[in-house]
Amino acid sequence: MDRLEEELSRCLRRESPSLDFTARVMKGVRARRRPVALWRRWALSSALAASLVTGVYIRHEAAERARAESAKSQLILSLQIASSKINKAREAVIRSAREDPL
Amino acid sequence: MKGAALIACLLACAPAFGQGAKLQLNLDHLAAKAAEVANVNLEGPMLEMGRKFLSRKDADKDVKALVDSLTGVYVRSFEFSKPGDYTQADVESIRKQLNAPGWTKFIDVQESKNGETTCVYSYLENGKMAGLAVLAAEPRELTVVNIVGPIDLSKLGQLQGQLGIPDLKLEMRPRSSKPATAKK
Repeated sequence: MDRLEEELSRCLRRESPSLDFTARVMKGVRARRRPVALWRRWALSSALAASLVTGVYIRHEAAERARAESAKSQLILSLQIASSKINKAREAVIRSAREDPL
Repeated sequence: MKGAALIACLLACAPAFGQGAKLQLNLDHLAAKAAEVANVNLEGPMLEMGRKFLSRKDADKDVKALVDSLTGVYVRSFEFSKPGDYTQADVESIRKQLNAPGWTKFIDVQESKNGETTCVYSYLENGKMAGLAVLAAEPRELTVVNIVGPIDLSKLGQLQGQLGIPDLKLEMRPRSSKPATAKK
């Protein structure tokens, strides 16, 4: 019985890991980890860059369109004002000529 | 010494020469008193942008043809809630510029009955029309339109029914020394 106990105690005694244990574990972990393919990284970066450029372009186009619409409205407003005033003056001239032919 | 004096003289005269058909519309102080304000300043890239945008639709083609060679469009229109909110000095500041060489008044309407005055001027450069100005003063309204660049008045007349622009049927002779007048 003493011998059995002795055997068990020998087998279950606390033992410190070897000095290179951590290095070996990490090496194993690295070996298991699957590296991300380079093309995937490039694809992801390109997609992000493309969405960014597209977003900026769309925003720029929308702003340009708004400015152009505003410029067009102003142009038409100017022509409306000019023509209405000229028309009014013209009518007054015609009216005056009819009332006083000389 | 004489050269320096000549250069100084030329520099002093430069603004007057450079001004051309563009008027100095210093009427911004009236905006605070006005009930309604229309303020348009179109030149350079903004005018180009508006012009390009016009060409996208067929209905705008006639307007585009009209404004194709313009270099500037400026409007100041103020509608006041009561008479006397603008002074004669405001009108004179514009009229004085329109008395400068190059400008010809070809329509002059003065209606004493309602106190309305409308004058239409053209600016001639090398015998060709290079600008247009409309100065309309009513007791409760003051409008100045300044169009810089060659504008075809017959085309302006052809815009009837389009974009809310009325039929003008103008028979204008900008070179005539006597403006068409109507006084009542």
